Amino acid sequence: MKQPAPASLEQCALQNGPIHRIDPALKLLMMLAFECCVISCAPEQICLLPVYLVALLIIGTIARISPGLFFRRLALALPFAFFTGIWGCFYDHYPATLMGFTITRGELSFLSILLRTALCVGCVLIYAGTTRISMMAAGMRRLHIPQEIVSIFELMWRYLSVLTDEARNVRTAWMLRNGSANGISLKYFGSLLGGILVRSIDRAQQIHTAMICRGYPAASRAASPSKIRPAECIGAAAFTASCILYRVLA
Amino acid sequence: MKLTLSGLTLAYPGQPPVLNGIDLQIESGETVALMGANGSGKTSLLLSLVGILPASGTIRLDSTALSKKTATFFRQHIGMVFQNPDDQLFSPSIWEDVAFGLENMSLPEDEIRDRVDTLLHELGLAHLKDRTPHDLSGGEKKIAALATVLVMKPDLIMLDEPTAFLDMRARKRLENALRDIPQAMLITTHDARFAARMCRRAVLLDSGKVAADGETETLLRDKALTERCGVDALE
Ligand SMILES: Nc1ncnc2c1ncn2[C@@H]1O[C@H](COP(=O)(O)OP(=O)(O)OP(=O)(O)O)[C@@H](O)[C@H]1O
Ligand SMILES: [Mg+2]
Repeated sequence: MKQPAPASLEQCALQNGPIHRIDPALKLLMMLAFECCVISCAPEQICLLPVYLVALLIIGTIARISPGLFFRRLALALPFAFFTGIWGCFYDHYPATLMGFTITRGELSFLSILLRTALCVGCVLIYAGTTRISMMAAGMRRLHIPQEIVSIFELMWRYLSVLTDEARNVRTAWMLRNGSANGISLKYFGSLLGGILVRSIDRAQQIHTAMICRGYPAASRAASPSKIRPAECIGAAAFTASCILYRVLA
Repeated sequence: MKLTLSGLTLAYPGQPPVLNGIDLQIESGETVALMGANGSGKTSLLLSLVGILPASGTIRLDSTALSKKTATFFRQHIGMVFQNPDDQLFSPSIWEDVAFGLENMSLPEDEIRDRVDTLLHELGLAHLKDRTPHDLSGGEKKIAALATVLVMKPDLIMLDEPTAFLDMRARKRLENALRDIPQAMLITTHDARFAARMCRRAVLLDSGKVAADGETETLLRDKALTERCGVDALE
C-alpha cells in the first residue's frame, strides 16, 4: 500500500530516512554552518549561491521532504524577503553585472536577498522535516544550551499547534452561527482573536499540567538520542568543511 | 503499592475548602470508583495526588510522603488520564504523544519504539499512529489519552470521567481496554452502571468529606445515600 504524503513537516519528521537518523546536535551544527556560509555571501558573490541551492535540493530529496509541502512553507517566508529587498531597486541604480547582463546594484542585492532567504528558510525546513521536536530539544541539550531556553522552545512549539487548533475551532463555530462562508469580517475579528488567545492560554495551562504529570521537564532523564557514531561525525565534518571551503575559496 | 491519604484538605484561594479531611487507602490491583456531584472535588482530589494542587494533610505512596522533592517519584508511579483528551494530547502525532512520557524517563530509543508500538497495537490504535490528535474522533482520542499513560506502566492509574461523551460502542471498547489493566485504578465517574461493572469498590464524596466507602453495588443501591451525595443510583 502506498503511504499517503505527510500533511505537515512534523509528520515528515516521523519517517525514518538517512537524514532523519543523523544525530540532532550534529544536524543543528551543520545547519548553522550552512546558514553562516550563505548569509555571508555579499550580493556580488551571488554566483556562489546556486551551488548551495543544488546541495539543499539534493539533501531535501534524500530526506524525502514532500516538495509540495516544502515549497508551500517556503512561499510563506518569501514575501518578507521580497519587501525587504525590493526597495534597493528604487534607490540604488549603480550598474552591476550578472552573468554578462548589466543590471543595477539594487536589483542584484534584491536577487541575492531573495535567494539567501530561500536557502536559509529551506535549510530550517529540512531540519524541521527530519527531526522530531523531542530530538531537537535533546540536540540542543547535547550542545549545552540551558534547559530554560530549551523548555521555552518546546513550549512555544506546542503552543503554536494549540493556537491553530483553537483558531480552527473558533472559526468553525463562528461560521456555523454566521451562516456565511466568506471568512470572518473585520468587525468581529478583534473580539474573536481575543477569545482565541484566552482559550488557548487556558488550554496551554492544562497541557502544561498534563506534561508535568508525565514527568516533564526532566533534563537529566530526557530523551537522549543514541551515541554519535564516528561515521556520522566524519560525514558532518565533511559537509561543514565543504560548505566553508567552497565559500572561502570559490 | 499502597496509597494512603490522611486528613487531605484542599482549598482554592479565597474559597471554602473543596476537600476537607479525606482519609482513603488504595492497594495494588484495586479498582475504585470515585463519585460525587458536579463540583464535589473529584478532579481536584486527583490533581492533588500528583502534587499539581498543593493540599495539606499527608499523601503516602508506600513509605514515601508526597512533597516537592518526591513529586517526580509520585508522577512516575501514578498516571493521570485527563477528562478532556484535548488537554492530554499535545504532540504532532499520536505516536510521539505516547512516546513523550517514556522520553522523559530517559529510556533508550529502541525500548521506547518497542513499547509504544506494542501498546498501540494492543489498543487497536496502530493505524492511527501518524495522525494528529486533533483529527481523531472523541472515542479514539480517549483511548489514545489512555495509551499515553498506560505506556509508562504506573502502579496506579487515575482516570477522570473516562466515559464522558462516549457512545455505547466506544464505551465498550474503553471498558475492554480497562479490564485488561492489572494495575490499581481510581476512576471518577457519574455513570453508576459503568462504576458497578468496572469497580468493586466505590468512594462517595459529599461536602468535601468521604460520605461512604464500600462495595459499589451496595452503596449505589442506597437511595438515601445517593440522593444525599447527588449521584445516580442503580435501578
Ligand atoms: N482553578 C480553580 N480555581 C478556583 N476554583 C476551582 C478551580 N478548579 C476548581 N474549582 C472549584 O472547586 C470545586 C471542585 O471542582 P472539581 O473540578 O474538583 O469538581 P469535580 O468533582 O471534578 O466536578 P465535575 O464532576 O463537574 O468534574 C468546584 O466548586 C470548582 O468551582
Ligand atoms: Mg471533574
